[in-house]
Amino acid sequence: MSGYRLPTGGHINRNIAIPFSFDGKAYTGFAGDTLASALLANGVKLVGRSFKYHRPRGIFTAGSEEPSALVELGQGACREPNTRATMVELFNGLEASSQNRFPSLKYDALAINNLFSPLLAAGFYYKTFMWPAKFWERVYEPLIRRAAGLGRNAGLPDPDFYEKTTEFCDVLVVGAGTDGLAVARAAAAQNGRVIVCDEYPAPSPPDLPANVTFLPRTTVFAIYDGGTYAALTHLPNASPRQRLVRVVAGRGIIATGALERPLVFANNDLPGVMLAGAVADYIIRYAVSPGRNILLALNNDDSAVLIPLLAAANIGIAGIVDTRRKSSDLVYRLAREADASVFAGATILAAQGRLGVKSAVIKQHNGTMLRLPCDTIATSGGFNPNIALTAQFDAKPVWNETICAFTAGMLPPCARIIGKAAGQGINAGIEPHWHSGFSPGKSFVDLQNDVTVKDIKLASQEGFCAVEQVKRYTTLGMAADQGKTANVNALAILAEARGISIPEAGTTRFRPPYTPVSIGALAGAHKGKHFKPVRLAPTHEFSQAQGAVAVESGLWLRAQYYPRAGEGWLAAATREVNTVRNAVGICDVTTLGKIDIQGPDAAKFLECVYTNSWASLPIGRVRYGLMLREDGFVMDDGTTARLGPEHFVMTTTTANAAKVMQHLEFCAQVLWKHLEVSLISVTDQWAQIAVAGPKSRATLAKIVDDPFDVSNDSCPYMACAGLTICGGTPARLFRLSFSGELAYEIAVPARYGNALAEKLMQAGAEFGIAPYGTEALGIMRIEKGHPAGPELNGQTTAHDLGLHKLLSTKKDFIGRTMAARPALTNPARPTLVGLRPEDGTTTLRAGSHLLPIGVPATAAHDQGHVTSAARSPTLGPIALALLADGPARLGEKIRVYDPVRQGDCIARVVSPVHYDPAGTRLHA
Amino acid sequence: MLEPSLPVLAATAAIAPLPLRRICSLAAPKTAGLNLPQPGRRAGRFIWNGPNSWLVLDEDATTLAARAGGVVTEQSDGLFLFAISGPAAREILKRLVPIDLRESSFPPEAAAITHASHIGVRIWREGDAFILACFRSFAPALHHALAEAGQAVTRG
Amino acid sequence: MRIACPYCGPRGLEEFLYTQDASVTRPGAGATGQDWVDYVYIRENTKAPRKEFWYHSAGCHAWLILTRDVVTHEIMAVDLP
Repeated sequence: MSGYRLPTGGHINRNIAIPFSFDGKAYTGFAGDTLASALLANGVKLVGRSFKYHRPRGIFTAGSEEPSALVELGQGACREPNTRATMVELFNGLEASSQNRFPSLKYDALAINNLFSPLLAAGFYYKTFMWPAKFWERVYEPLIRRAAGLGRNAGLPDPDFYEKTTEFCDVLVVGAGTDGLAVARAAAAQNGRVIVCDEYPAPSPPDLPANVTFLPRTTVFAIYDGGTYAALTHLPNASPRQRLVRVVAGRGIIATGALERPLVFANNDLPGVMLAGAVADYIIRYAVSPGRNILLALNNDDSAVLIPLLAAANIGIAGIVDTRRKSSDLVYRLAREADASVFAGATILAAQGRLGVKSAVIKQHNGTMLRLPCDTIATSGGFNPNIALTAQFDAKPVWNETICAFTAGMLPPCARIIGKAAGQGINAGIEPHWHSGFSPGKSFVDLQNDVTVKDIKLASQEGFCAVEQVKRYTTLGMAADQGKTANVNALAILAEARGISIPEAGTTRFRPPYTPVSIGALAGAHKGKHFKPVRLAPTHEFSQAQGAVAVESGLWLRAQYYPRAGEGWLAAATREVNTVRNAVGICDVTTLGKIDIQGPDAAKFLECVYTNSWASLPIGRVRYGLMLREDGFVMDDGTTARLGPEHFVMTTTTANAAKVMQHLEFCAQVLWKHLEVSLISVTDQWAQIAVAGPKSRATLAKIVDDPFDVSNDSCPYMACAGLTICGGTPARLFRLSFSGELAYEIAVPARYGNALAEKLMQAGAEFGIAPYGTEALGIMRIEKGHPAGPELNGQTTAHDLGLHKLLSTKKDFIGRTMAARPALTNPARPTLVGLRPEDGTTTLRAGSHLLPIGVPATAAHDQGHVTSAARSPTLGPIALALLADGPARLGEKIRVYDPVRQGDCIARVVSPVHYDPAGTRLHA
Repeated sequence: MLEPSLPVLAATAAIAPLPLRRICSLAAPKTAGLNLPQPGRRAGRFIWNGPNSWLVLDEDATTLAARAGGVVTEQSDGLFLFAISGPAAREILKRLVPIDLRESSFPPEAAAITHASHIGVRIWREGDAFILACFRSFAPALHHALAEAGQAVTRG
Repeated sequence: MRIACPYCGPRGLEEFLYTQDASVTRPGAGATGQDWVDYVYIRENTKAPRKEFWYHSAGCHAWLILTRDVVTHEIMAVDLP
């Protein structure tokens, strides 16, 4: 076969040809190829341009540690940047393009950055683009944003499907190499479940016991406390695209092998410079030779295995440059058999070529220079045990002088590391050689972030000596490859620059993920509408049928307003408010938390958590309750009804339902363990509907069963009772009012929610009943000055809200002492008042600040802010606000200042109870 | 009597929304000899439901209160039940539930309180099926998550 | 991270909520304002195992006292209050 494909061998299937394209040009590969191997087979060496300097780059490795061959895969919404070509399994119709070049890969205009490289050295952004100052926002930043970055985001929503699963096993083996599989079989023999994960698309090993699950294409990318591992399965061109697998394992075996590191010399980033082991991989796995005349540069015996491989495939060997003064017996023997020359004690000073390697300049042991023509340089500086997972965990790696590599320090609990990952069987005969020291030309250490030897020395010179500082100053190791082929070389170079040993230089920390993970995989099914679960009220079908527009209230969907033909939200809400104030309306209030509190000590328990008194509450009565935090600030409010001697039902605000339950359970299980009280959430058990307005009693009278009496005498304000309605349906009635009108809340088991709403509509039809939503609810509660979410913001006290009368002086309760701190009771604090615009028509907006008239609008003069605002159908624009010393300033004029929305008007300070201050309508 | 209504959720071969059922919560029972199951277990109609608390299936609240004492609360409307059954049941559930549901770890008498797709659930087994109980308001969301996982399993 | 709930067995971290230090004692009757300030705000924060309140929010709602080493993350004990 012509080109670079070898005539025989490889694990590819030559019967299945696969067409693909790269940069618009059509090529063919075979089943089993990666994009990288297929490109090399077709003689394509130039695949990208580097991050900062836009230098021509090729394929450096054969695996997931690839720093250079980053391509853009796919089109449109599926387009994915920065994909390692070495990890892409070739599929029919694959479309890939090179990145970071304009107008083309061969002729990249920004290669001019290479000329400016002295200005773009490490840390350049700390020293440049500073003058003139005003150029930053308008000139420099936009330019930098356009030029920076690697790869382009598709900019469209990700259409692919992702999954998340959890697996449990006794042993997780990371890596299905020889050692990994051996230990997996041994573990399986002891029964229990074994899971083996491997990054690569290896076929399932033969004769695997039934209790071993083999997961190919699955990278274990993180290890967490408690024996939890995270892995990502990537399925080529399939659905799901990726599957995030959380593995909870009794024990973990890390068999991740070792990653090769290159020798460092000038222009070592040219296409054609590759890891020696990668060249061997391409020959063995894909039957591809990356070149025709290959120069080997090594310092150890491990990489010598390439020599007979090249010879057997009839690939020219340009020479073997061994930095070891005496090379080794093995190298000499293999070179003799391959008829290749050995240059012992020699180093490559520089690779030469423009868009690819054409030759290399070596310095021999006697000092003379030699130019060797070649089209590929296979370099090996030794192997690094792949200890990234253990290093994520906190185990600082330990330098092993014998093998010249880091091995894992202390291991995570219940984890073992074996094989090459443990430093066994690698770096035979190694003699360290960290870099060539030749100045002209760049010697790259971190290929992906374009960090050179000079950058590391510069950082050290400028005082960034500690390895963590060098990393951040130079950005070495901070790219998507996490410096897998760079870190150890960098440490050695840093140690040398500082004149200290490698262990003294220290290491930086690996962090999850080991290789990139799509945000889509982390989200799984939780995206878009399904990001959080939506809770639907038991009257949801009713309100939808009535045309409600819904609003998200925490996890709940609530009816916001019920527009009739031609109505916008304000017109609808205004009509709803008028209907409630003049006739009758219904509103679902199921979403407010309902907690059933029962037991011999139920009343005592309420005394502890609420500020006011409860033991004295008669059965059949409801009371407003205020709850403080331990620091004395208001936590939540609600109404609690007494249904029996040992039976209460507490309501909370919708937003705080879970938090209050958590708090009550803390009180019951920790603070007052000796109290006999049981708590259970009944929010979903009961559908609860507010029936409000002058005609609410008349409406209810039509549905309550005899002998229940809804008259004012039998069911006065703040009464509650159990009863039946509509011919035997169990119900609870509470005479409560949030709207300020004559009102009730009626609860039935949730299955009857929709039917109850329908029945109420029928019963109230003659009065002109209408459903109302949260918008109208909000307008009415602001008219009545009831504190709600914007006032109960975690920064207000009972005094601030005018509720200090509810702080009992006769008993202890949570927050009592702390709430009495002088700073919390100081009247100069912003305190609840009402506001009306002086001109009667200007809209007031929540968030506006309150300032005295005639002083500059600065923070120093800020006296409070508007918390809630509404357009009342009866009163015009109104608001509630927190104003310093508010209650003492009724009648004063104040400036309402809203610079963000161009609001600036005068308002009058009034009582927060704008509507029916005497409460006569409530007690009708 | 008012007409009951339930969220309308489609069933598949593996996933079935269940009709309303009598469920009560029993806390701090007083009577001895009730044979209440230990934490993480089900014993007949009694399912462990938290510290000193059980769910009781198919019994009237009044009779239960009379014979068990303690605090009995109606939950027949508060909880919505799904049955996940068939050969793919565990494959579906491992996509939603972070606990080990293999036979050895979750035998027929097991019961657990955990979450499925961010929704609180109680899980137990009845015959061949896994029963998931969530608060009624979450039923459509849990159904969607189950159905999507079901489709993924059928597809893959 | 996994926490062994005494009722439910070992569960993932996401089922739990850390709230506060469990080594401070809630002031009783006769406590001064300063006692309360200390209880609400003042913490030792030593680099050593400490007692913490955790809530099994996505599980059985039990409140737990964990003894946990904040340096190594090792959980030494899980107790009921």
